[in-house]
Amino acid sequence: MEIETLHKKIGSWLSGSGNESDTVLSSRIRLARNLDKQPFCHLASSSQREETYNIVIEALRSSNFFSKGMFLRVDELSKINRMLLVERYLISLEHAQGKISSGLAVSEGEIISSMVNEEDHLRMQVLYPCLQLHEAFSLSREFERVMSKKVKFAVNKEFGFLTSCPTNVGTGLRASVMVHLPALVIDEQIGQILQAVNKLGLAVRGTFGEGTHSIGSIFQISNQVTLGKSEEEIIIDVEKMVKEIIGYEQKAREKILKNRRIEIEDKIGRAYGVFSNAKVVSSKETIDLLSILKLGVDLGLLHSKNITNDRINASRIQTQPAHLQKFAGRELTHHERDVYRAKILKDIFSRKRGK
Amino acid sequence: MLCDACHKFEATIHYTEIVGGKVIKLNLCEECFKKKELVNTPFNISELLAGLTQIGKDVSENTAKCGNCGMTFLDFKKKGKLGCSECYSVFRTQLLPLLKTIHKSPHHIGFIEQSDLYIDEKNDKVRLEALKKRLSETVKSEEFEEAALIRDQIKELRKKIETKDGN
Repeated sequence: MEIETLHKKIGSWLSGSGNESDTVLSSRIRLARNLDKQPFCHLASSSQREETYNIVIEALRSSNFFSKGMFLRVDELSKINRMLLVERYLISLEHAQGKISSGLAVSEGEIISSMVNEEDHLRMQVLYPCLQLHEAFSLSREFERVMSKKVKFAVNKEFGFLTSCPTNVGTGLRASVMVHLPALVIDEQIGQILQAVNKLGLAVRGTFGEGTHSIGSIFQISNQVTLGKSEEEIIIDVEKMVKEIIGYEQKAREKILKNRRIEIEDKIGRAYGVFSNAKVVSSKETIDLLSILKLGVDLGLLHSKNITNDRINASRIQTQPAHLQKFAGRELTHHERDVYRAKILKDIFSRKRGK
Repeated sequence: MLCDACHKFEATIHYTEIVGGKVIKLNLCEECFKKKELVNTPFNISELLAGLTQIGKDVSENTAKCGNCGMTFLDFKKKGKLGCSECYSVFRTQLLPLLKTIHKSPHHIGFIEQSDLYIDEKNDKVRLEALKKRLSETVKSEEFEEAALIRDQIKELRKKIETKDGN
């Protein structure tokens, strides 16, 4: 596994089948951990950051989770490679600044990863397809158990795992689920639902774009509270909320199918038309149209064998700016990217099955 | 009403934010409001934390310093981030009200993996004993609000254990 060919494949967490795959894209568990007594990243000097880096990377290396994966010094990567990792959900935008001694470990298939020296010394992540929070959590616990034998984590009995920001203290756990809610957006119910989620102490935000002005109808639902609740409770609460919301989405789908079928079929046909024929496609348009196509697949309104959820997922990742530039092998201007994107989309959706 | 941040001037700006389902109200004077730059900058968690943290009337509280990393409580209030694991013990009293506001309770009840602190998350009875011990500690030190919270947790846990045993 190496960074220079990473763009050609997509993470195995993006393969489409599983629980609720028509509404849930992925489940993610993140555990924040720090080394005992070592200054947190924002306060550490360059030499202390390097010391942390060496201790953590050594522990990650000997953990065997990454034997077929790769270790990257994020501070030594090119800007495009750093953005490539952001686009693949492997590092945060903050981490992509490439501060001194920042690192990343990624397992083959990109299921397990760990940022080193981000806001906390370690940010362990497990990404699974569809709705599999419990499964993702089991794996993250296994990962954390192995790591806790190799390094001494900052922990105390009263506050649990100690983190740089008190909003993560306790379990250090963030459970988030990415959901696709096109019918709630089309039926204009989404605003109310998002408000309700926020009132219940969970966070919800658009994945592309800011706040509730999400594009592509993709939202991320996650817990806010990390202290005073057990890991199990946190996960169950997020899962319950997700199931509730996708219940509303299913009802909205039935409703629009009943009342606005022609309109929906028209949207789907047009989206297909753009991807088959357009020469210039912006990233916003791509995300929006991929959402429509996915709705078409999930409602059984789109019968082309070339359009599958796997291909839609691949397109969402591989048509982002850094990915396009990796494919092109050079920097592209804004306009060149839109042209290149149209070409890649056409390629992906006209490829014969099984390729 | 005086400004929550400086306690000097009349608060003219009343700012409400909902975080994790809890409503947080800040009453600020214009100067402090400008300082927080809440007007045009996107929501910033550190800023909010700084606002939530009670500005100690007691000067010694602000100048309290962590012996391990050198951070003072005032530094924390400015940055919204702690300096190292030891800070949590050094600034414990000042952090409790903040943790109570942003979380469900200020006490960890999840698992702890390190062998010397190991609490099996499935073993509710072990957790119950730990909570009971904490309860008597908080009563001794007259932290009654804390004690009430722990008492509620004990109640919940007892109920859970009873229903489990019943099955």
